[in-house]
Amino acid sequence: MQNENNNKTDLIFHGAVNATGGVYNKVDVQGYGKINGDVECESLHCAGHVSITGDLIGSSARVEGNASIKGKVKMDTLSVYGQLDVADDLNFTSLKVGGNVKVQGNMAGEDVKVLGSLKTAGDCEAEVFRANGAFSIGGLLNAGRIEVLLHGGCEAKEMGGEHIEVRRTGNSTLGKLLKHFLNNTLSVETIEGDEIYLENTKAKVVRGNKIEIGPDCEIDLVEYSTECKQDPSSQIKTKTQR
Amino acid sequence: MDTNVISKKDLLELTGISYGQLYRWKRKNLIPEEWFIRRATFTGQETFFPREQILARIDKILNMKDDLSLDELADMFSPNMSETSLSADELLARNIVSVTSLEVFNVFLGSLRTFTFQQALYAYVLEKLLAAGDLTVEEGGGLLQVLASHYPKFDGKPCELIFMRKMGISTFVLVSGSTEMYFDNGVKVVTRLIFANCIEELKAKFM
Repeated sequence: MQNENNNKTDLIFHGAVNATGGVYNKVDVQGYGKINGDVECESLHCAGHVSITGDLIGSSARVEGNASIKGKVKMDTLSVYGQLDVADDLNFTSLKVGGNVKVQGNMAGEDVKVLGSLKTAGDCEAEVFRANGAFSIGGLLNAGRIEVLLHGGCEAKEMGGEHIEVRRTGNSTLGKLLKHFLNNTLSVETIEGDEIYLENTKAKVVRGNKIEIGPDCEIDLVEYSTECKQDPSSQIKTKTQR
Repeated sequence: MDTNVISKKDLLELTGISYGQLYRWKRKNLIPEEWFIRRATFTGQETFFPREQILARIDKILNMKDDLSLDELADMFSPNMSETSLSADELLARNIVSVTSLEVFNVFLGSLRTFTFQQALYAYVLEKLLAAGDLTVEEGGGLLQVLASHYPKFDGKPCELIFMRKMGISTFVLVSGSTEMYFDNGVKVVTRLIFANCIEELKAKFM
């Protein structure tokens, strides 16, 4: 199928199809598709299952089914409602995780919104990182603004940025009942930032300029420069001003 | 305590920057990943930086951030070659090379009308060493030969040029990273040049 605008063909899968990589306009997978090699496309839509043995480069992708990429992924807008596995690095401008995203390498971009679950083995860099779901960052979570609303367990090795805010979700009755079954805490080794507000957080070290430790935190060491507030229900082993 | 490195805490205290700024600069690739050295200490893991390099870099960023955007700064610090090319006259006009070194360059690599960034870098390195009096004109040929045939293999990765003499015979070596090297007593290391620094200086002149 020739597209009149840019002479790139569309690649459309219905049923089970094997295809080779290349430059396409639109890639639409409705059934089961396997693509050998690198894919460069304007848009990718996957409602079924797609696996790509190489890199995926493009401007927008929407994964409603299951996509597994063996190489790198570079996409401007990427929304995932199903599952996306990336075996290498993931680069994006805006990423929306409604389902499940797993990245074996590092991820970097402008905007991250997590409503489902995000897991990365390496670092995660963004200007704005908003999480309303679960995440697990194997390396450093580095963002200008980190806003976390705790749903389920969240963890990161390190967190750093200008503004870091971690809050638990509202006190619904169901939430209270399930509290003993769900582990709604953030576990992290080090948090460093200019302004930090934490709730339900377990950390070894928290360093920053202005720190407020809200309810239910366990922190070994807090180092602050201008001010530090502490909720009585939180435990801080050592607190120093530098 | 290792005096070549500085801990993150000391660095922030010394330079007066905040955690936020440091993380932002890291995100914008103004501070390379390799400089974040993680070491275990009695308070758990701490991050250290190579002292000289990080202090020089932060100084530059603080001085230039009012004139250039962070992205422009990142381009300048990036070891990857920029796309720009310059004519021989422009190289002379911007004090990147002198007439003498340009002539030497022309003898060994042929006379070029326009220089790519990489070629300008070779000329600039030549100029630096000639101007410092470390190098004779004949040795310039050896330098240009090693650069032209081997420098592209590093593909933007950090590397260093070592220029040494033994019994009047000169040798050029290109090594990756900050490899430690030891020589016998007869060897005199004339200069070690870190390419990343040269690239930064050259980019500053390009802009």
